[in-house]
Amino acid sequence: MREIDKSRIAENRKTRLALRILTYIISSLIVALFLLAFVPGLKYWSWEFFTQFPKERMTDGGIFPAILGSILLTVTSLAIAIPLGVLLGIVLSEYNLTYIKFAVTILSGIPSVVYGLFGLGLFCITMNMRTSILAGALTLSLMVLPVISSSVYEVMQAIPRELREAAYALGARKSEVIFEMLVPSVRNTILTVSFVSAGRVIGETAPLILTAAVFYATQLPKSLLSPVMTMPTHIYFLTAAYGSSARWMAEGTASVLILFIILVYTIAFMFRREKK
Amino acid sequence: MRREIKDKTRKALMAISSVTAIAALFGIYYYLVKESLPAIRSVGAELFLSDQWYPVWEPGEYGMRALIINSLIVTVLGTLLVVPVAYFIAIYLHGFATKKEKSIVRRLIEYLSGIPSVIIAFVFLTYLSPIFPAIGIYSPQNLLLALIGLFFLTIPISTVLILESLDSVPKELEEASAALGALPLKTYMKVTTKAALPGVMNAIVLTANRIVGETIVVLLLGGGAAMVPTKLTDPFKTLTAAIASEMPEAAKFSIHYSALFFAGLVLVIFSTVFELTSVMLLRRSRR
Repeated sequence: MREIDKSRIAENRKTRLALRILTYIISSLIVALFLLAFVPGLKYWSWEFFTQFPKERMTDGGIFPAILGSILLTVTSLAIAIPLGVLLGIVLSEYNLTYIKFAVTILSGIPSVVYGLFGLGLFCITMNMRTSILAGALTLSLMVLPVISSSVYEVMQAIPRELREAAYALGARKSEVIFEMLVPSVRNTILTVSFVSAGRVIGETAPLILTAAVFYATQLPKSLLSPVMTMPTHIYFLTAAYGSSARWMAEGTASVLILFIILVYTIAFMFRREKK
Repeated sequence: MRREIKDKTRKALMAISSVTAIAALFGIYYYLVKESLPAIRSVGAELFLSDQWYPVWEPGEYGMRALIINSLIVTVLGTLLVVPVAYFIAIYLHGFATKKEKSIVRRLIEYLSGIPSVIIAFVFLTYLSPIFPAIGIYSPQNLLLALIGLFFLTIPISTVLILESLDSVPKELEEASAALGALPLKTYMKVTTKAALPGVMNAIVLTANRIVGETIVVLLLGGGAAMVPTKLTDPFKTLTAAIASEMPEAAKFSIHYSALFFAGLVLVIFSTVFELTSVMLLRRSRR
């Protein structure tokens, strides 16, 4: 009896070790990926890199317009998407409307490049916004709408029924129960999902190539109807169109973009921890 | 009175958000169909039947069969590559890992899910791609490189979804299996996985959907040849890559422009099918 147990324990140990090795290998590859994206670009960080335009066919200067463009686009699209997304999440959770739930599910699966096509057709061409911040922001806000609303939906579903019933018993209307009791209690989730969406939006490339971004802007955007440079599209254009002479700038941009992403996600996770 | 106005305003705002969602879905389908009609009319069935994708020639050729097949090839291979690894990592995190390991690996994966695809593509293009010519492979960008990029892009979503469905299985089932003498691995693979099967399948479907719609990784790492690859080291181009790389140059309202909208229409049909499958699987898992 004892011997059988021993062999079984040994077998279990072996499985555990094998799975642990697999997990550790993949985890360290992920860390390596982060380091390769972040560290090589660090040496180009300088005052000029953050404050100047690209110069001399991308061999000199900085990425100021790309940083500014990414921030403008992210802020504009979230300003549209967060209120709409939160409201939509509320509708999903508090009103049992199957077809809206269905629409949001389908929307959540649509590839970002297809959102780009739609934005190009509707905003840039039909509504004559051309390649602009506004067209890109509207496109991105539609893209993150399902992300925001499903998170809000899930956390509102987790609120116990009794709380709602107590509010109704006090004579509150449905809209008052929702906006004065439920929404304030999910505030932290709304903040978390806002920052996670900011992370999604700031790294998005394909839809912006179609709707908002240009390869090189000679001046800063004057209004929401101006085209912009962004960090991800800058990396894309440098990689696709320029060879090794511009690799340094792509590396530098990648490291700045990673810094933004890590910052945004860390803030998002902080709000989530506070909740617990 | 003020209470009345507040109530009405809030209801109106919620109605606006619902209308936006419905309008977005219909709008996307409407625009894709409308803009692809010229291509459907002038090219016809050849869109599906021909491999000749030469949109900038005079006259242009708009056969998309290779692009469609490539999108499917990369989806199937990518899913086959990532799901088993994600599954075993999820098994480890679910049953074998210490609490600390689980939270560290989860956090790491969550951060990875935030890395933009353009950065993943850039890193592999810079550090891995030059190896291929050095070992005698003619194309530095190819199917294999794209699959590796897609692996890192989708391992987070795949692992997290599988882990969540494994974690949602009642502990009693696992305890019963252990009491009957099954080793942990056997319990997790036979009992837990079986109970979580709809959730695991859903993870597979959503991973596939993520891959079929992925653009930049496939575009920068795939090499961009509009032909069906015969081996892992051949370059290839997908529907998404064609849209992102050719649309900025395509003349407005040309047949090329219209054909790219048609590519978008095919993609959105794929993703709708995937999402419908996912909805059905989740409905079954809730029973």
